[in-house]
Amino acid sequence: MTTLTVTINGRSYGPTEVRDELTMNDYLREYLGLTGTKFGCGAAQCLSCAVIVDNPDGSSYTSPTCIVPATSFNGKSIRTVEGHAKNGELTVLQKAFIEHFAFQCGYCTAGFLNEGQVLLDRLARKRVPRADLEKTIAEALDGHLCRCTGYAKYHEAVRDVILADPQRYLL
Amino acid sequence: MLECGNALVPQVVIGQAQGGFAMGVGQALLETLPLYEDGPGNGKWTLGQYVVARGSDLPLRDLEIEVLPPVDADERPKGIGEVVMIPVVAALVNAIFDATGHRFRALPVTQAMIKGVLT
Repeated sequence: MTTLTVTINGRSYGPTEVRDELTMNDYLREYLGLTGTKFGCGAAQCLSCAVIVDNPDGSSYTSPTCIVPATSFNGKSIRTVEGHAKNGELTVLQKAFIEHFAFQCGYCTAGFLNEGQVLLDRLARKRVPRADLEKTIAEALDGHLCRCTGYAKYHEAVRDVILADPQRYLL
Repeated sequence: MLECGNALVPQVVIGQAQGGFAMGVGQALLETLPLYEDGPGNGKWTLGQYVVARGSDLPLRDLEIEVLPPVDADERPKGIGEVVMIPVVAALVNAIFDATGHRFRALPVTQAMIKGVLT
């Protein structure tokens, strides 16, 4: 057993005693009821289970949760799909997903949303040339698997959000 | 190009067509479920062995899908989705035949199989 304290969507959870082999996915879904984070392949290969990890320096990255122990997130600050909207107002990226019909069954959506938001946060910190945008989006989203809509609409949604605010995201 | 009857939500039809295209690419080039002890029935397979199409496997910017109007105004929706896969598989395998002169008779046609007939 290990003591776990983790900040999720700005709220501190713990300290809680958890089994060392408890996955972060089970901690989120079964302990906290945060079922927006999905369990997909169970091998960190589809990334439907990905959450955002926020570094103290303001940068962020995504991490799978299905095979990662909850204790490895001790002391960290993460964001899940439940943490994006504020006071019932969806984020720009969430609205773009809906407007583009980016998802259908929705199983991969939380992972794509987190990955897309990390990309937006990264570009806001370090902008890229317009000519590199397609490659940047493709590389950022590539690990995530979707079996409904064939990816195109997710890519279009992310691209539209960036192109709608070029001074923020592009050089 | 497809005709699905009366499209109730055109954006969903396009999404299903794009997804069906991706699954067609997977069936033609990537996805395999072999029989016997080393196959997925051994319970140890993951997406590492059962490889499905990623965004980088697909022509996301160059895929053009045209939904034809219903052949009959009173026609009911006929369904879509997996239907899209069918011509994609044939088109890809025919394209491989055009490029290599070799007619593959089993799916998926992997990179290793194509290299095998080129040497």
